[in-house]
Amino acid sequence: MIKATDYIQTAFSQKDAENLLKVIKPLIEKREKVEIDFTGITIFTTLFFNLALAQFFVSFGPDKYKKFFHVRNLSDVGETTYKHSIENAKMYYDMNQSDREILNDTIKNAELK
Amino acid sequence: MASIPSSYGDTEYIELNQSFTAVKPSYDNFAFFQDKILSTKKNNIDLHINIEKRLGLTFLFCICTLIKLSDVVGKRLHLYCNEKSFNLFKKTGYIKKNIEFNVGLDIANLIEWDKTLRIVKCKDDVFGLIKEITTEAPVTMSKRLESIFITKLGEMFNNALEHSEGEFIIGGKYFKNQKYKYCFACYDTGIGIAEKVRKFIQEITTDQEAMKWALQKGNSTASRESGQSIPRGLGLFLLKSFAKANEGSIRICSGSVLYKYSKKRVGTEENYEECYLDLKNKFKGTLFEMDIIADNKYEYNIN
Repeated sequence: MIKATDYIQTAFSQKDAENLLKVIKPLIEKREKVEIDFTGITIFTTLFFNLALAQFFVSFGPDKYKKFFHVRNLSDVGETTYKHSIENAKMYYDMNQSDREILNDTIKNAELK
Repeated sequence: MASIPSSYGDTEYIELNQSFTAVKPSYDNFAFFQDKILSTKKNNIDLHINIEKRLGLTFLFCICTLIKLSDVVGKRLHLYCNEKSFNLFKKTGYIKKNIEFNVGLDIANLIEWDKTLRIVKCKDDVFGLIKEITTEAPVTMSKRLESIFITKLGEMFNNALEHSEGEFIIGGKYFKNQKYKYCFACYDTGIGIAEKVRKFIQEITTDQEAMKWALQKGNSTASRESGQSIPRGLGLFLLKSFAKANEGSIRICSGSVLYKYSKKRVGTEENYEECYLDLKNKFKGTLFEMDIIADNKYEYNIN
């Protein structure tokens, strides 16, 4: 079990997500379950969940994600924010491949202009 | 609208002498002056604030943002004001209280950028600044509400940093109506919400449609380093809930749209309504303002 407070004080920023990913990624590489206890964390953003967890929902799909990723002891704010992040990830995951490509190309082209 | 005196030498002369308050014509007028600054071929701009009637504190903040906007386009803005406006700059803490009024004083050099006005350039600065706003806000919040408030502001600021592609200024923490309301305003110098959404969704053609799309829960144009885009758009949706719970209001101005979310009285009933107002002139960047009731006697909670 990963105790979030061992690595982050808030689940707020990109930096927070990167710090937690340092612990998550080795577990994924070893094909081990990722269980994170968020006891003591009170501040959350969808940015954090998108980067730390929801990206794996999109990469692995919902079934594999539910099998390998578990979050525990989220506050009600954390629960709402996490749920929103995963719902949005599901929306993206459910897009067909060509829609995703169009979306990603549009983003890339917009950024380069 | 005041007529604009002609410029001289390498300097553009601009005068603000009409009222600026939280109504659509003020945002329209302000956008006009932004355009004057951005489109001048002169390298220097002398901005004279000669407002004798009302100058809303949000617009005082907006005047400060003109300094940064001028920097972005390589111009130098000089700021002069009448005594009434000068005293407002002191009252808000934008300039030091011990500076004496002088009609020829260029206060652009005196703005205290690291105090009441702050500049955020990267996401790692955001949390500290939100904690500051939350600590300073004269509202007693339950721990739960404080967490929610910080979370929701964080969503909004993170969105702004991603969307703006430019600098992001937090500022304008002030009281209104004899300390009854606490307000803060944020401005980014980027391309604006509407422009960003239109690049992302080609079917959207108007600024108003773009703003509506951006404010819907689940929508976002943000992209991640991996190239995947996961919709977010949570921040503004949740901030509306927060504003309603605290009898506050929200205004967002970007491009040709002014969005307002506030309480409206219809007969004997009061309900929260949102509206999208068209501006004649395009507002550069994005301005976000939020008011909350300042009431230390009551501990605010949220269900």
